Amino acid sequence: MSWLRRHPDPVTLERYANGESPDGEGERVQSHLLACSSCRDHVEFVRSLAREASQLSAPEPPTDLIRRVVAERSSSHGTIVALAGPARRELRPRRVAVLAAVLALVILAGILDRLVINGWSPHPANSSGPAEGADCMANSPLRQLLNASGLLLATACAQQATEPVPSEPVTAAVLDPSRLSPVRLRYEDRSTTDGIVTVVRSEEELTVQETTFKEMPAWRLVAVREHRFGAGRNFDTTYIDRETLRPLTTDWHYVTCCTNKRSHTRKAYSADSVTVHSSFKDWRRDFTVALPDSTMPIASGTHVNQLLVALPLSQGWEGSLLRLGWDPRGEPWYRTSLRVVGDDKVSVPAGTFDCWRLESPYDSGTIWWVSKDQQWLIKTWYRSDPDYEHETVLISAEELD
Amino acid sequence: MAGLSDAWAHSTDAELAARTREGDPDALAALYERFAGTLMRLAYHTVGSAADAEDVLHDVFLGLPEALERYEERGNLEAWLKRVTTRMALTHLRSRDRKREVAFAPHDEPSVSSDETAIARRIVLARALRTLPDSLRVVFVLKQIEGYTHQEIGELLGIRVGTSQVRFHRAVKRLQKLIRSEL
Repeated sequence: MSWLRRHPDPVTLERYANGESPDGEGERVQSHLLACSSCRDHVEFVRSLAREASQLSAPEPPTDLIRRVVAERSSSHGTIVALAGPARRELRPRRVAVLAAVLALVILAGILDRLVINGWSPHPANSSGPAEGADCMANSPLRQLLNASGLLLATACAQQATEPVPSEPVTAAVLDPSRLSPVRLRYEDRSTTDGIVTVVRSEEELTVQETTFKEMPAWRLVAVREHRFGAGRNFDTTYIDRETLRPLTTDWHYVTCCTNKRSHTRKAYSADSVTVHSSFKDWRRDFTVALPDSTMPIASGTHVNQLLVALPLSQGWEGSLLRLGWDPRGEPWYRTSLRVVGDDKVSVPAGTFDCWRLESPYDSGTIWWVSKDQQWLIKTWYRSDPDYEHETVLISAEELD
Repeated sequence: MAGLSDAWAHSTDAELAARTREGDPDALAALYERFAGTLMRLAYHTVGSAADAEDVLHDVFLGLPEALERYEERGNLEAWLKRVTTRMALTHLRSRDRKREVAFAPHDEPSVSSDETAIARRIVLARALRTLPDSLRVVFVLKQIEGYTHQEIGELLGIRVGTSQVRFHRAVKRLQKLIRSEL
């Protein structure tokens, strides 16, 4: 078939539409277009997108923003500070290496069918119990906790690679609710990017308190995030079942500082789905998302920190987590995984803590440090490309009555 | 606002950059007056939210005097600022993705046109653009709104030219589907 009759692929047409065809290709495409209305339509559509996109409006830059910047720079609040972080590394190759290594281990160990990172294949009903000393498989408190709590936390323990993981839920009695306790934790976010060294003056205060929700014993998690320089605030209130740690409902509000515009998202969880309602001024969106596995609810926002408290962390522990979010692929939920890879002594404004170090190989190389005693989240760090790193640090902790 | 930057109204970009690098707040304000509109537009279409775009703009100008140490004055200052803003916007997107579920926050619809059809198309396009995954929207914005080549987009995002072209194609395909379903 000659070029004239063969349709160019859409990428070629789009190059042509944008005037980026290499030598020779443009003429061939042009000749084809003379005889092909469907390809002409596609070229015209791409060009119309360019015309219309260039006409899209955008908000005006705030007139007072530069005054705030100038004032902040002249203040003594350490707006511009140097940050020290772990040595630079290329995360993309590393992530590929980690994935390749994990996959190789999985295949070699023959644990692919038990690995629940993708999780959710059924396990033999009559699974044998764990070997003595196992702490993360089968009928272990972890598994019971996770299943009963409905935590979307499926475990794969390298030490017990041949031990099957039971699929039946466990009773609430095996939970250890005392791992959670009323507490107020305050965090600060910092980031540095592209040579712009900045303290991101965003602070979040998380308060965890016992309460009831629709007459059920529950934990109430309230997170208030003050965005930097008074740009706005987030309020996030999540209720979780006190015995299962399953989220019941989440209300998230964002209020802008100056115009007082409010955005609201509410999530209500049922056994197999979550219903989301979002609104902003006169805009509304409502939808329901089915959960991939009805036994495993979603860890959402501040809820994640409390899941860390409840986990039986130890060297070698590994587990997956399902989160509701807006993944770049467009999925309404995504899985991430955590594993304990070591321990460190970590100093943050709140003090110095002996911590487990957890990595999230599917989460762009995030490192989490969790204190060994109360398993509070002490610090997170990630570098998503050579020019960007981000950390969250605990600045104070207060145990409440 | 004008009071802060009157003294620099007739200065060249290079002069403003040099004085800003030295810590002159008036020069910084003049740069803001000169480029904030362009940078806000870029940030806004990249991150899809007015509030986030303001955060991006704020971060860019907060650290600009220090960042200008790396500006070698060989190229166009506006182009350099757009690169910095794009990278800052991308980091905000990453931060946003990981930190919280994001409520879809609408913003002002386009309002200036004498052609009702054009208005409707732009409203639909604006909405459709916001629903694109970040990775596709960023490429589309840089290509069709900011006029970067795929080579430049590849350098900016650390991806290959082919990847940029494919993402652009996927964005076009999704937009086509969304627009046709609305109009």
